[in-house]
Amino acid sequence: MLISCKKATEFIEKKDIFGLTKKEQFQLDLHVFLCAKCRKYQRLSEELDHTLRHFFMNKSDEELTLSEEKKEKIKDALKK
Amino acid sequence: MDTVDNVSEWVNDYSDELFAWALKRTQNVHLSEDLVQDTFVAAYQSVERYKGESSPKTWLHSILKHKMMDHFRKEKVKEKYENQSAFFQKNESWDKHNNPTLWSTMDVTLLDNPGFNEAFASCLEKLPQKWKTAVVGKYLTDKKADDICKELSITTSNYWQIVHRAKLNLRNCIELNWFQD
Repeated sequence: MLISCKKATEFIEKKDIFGLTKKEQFQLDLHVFLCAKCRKYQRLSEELDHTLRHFFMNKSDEELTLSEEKKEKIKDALKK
Repeated sequence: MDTVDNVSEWVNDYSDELFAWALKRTQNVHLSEDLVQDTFVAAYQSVERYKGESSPKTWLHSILKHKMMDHFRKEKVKEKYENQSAFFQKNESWDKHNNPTLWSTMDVTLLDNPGFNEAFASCLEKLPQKWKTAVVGKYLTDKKADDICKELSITTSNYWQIVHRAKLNLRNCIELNWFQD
């Protein structure tokens, strides 16, 4: 029933995206209960999520358009 | 009006929108420009097949979507990224140089620090394009995991493995470039 640290950290990600089966959830809970490093990673992973969300939130306001130069290049490419 | 004029007209009308769509997903200006150009060239080459049943915008969007899927299907991820031996030992426990430590990002001043954001952006930049797009899909868009997988031509288990590896690599990069200075 015991899983490795690598597997446990993968389960942390899988849980967030798709959810875990009952067995996987039990394996993760048991591992994290016994392993201080993965307990810490679980919190670090939340910090990473938080950082990523914050980072993209600020970027999503940027409205970029294609340059006129590039548009002309595309039109030229059509003529070839 | 001939075909070149018609499609050129579409470039005027729709290229900004298509570019913004691609850029939002890839966060890569050059790749987005190339995908948009490929889209219009493909549209021009197959314009006889466009019967006007959908709007040109919808038609162009579907071409762009396929161009992006093709791109990711062909993208080879370098071995150094696939290989996680840097983070874990052979028995899959943490490598002693990579024991997890906390960042205290709940401290808002860190996330608003321009230097930190710059370091973070350059670390994101170093990820394989497919990974970056998976990360953007998860954290920027509200899209369902299944839709993200489709756009990236990956399986669902591939998706969480990619996000997992991307996070380990980002963490490593930030700790080397920001926290250790």
